[in-house]
Amino acid sequence: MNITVYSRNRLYETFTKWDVPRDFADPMANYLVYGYEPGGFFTALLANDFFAAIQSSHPSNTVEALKCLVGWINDCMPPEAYSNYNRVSEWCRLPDGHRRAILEKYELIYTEQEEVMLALRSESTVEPVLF
Amino acid sequence: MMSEHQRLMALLKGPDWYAHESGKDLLAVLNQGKRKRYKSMNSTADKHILTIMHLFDNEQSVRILKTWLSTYKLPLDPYRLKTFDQFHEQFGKFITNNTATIESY
Repeated sequence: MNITVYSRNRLYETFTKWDVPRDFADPMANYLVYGYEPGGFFTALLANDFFAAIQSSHPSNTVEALKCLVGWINDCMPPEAYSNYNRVSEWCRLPDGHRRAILEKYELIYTEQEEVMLALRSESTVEPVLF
Repeated sequence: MMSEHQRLMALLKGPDWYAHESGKDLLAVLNQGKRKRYKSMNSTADKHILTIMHLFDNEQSVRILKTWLSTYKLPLDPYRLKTFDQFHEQFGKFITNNTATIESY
């Protein structure tokens, strides 16, 4: 799936709302948009598997960052993309068009029509700053 | 539908001329102060979009629409334009893949 900078910034705006660090935001964005496997830790997290998440967590992950990410997942993530291992693997296998439709439905990205109009209007957009 | 003479004129004068002429035309429709002027602006825009798609190539068509939106600030709504789906189908990929280039038009 190809998204414009407008949609990308819209998605990353949601991360700034929850102060999600960039190390966490990038794999989540790639998982949602492109359906990339998010790795052991994030897969376990998305599948609600606490034990596996802790076992595969990197030592530099902080509880504070984890709280922010969990807040973001609860608030912004489409239910189709998390809650158990089945849903996570299904999300990665979804065709681009389906993934795009779900992300548009939850207003995480703009529709293709909106993207075209934004690009033609040359609307200014600022890349959100994540830490 | 354009006459052959009008078509030839538009081709000779080029996309920039057409962009400004049609932009002014749409602005005039919008500023006429009548009720339903947005509706008539959208239907006029539909006619112009069909002409653009018929006469000009991808880049020129996109440049014309960009002139309407950025120079004349026309409040075009993609969901109210009947031809927008056709326009999107033809140029959508080109626009979304070249946002940086389009900004420089």
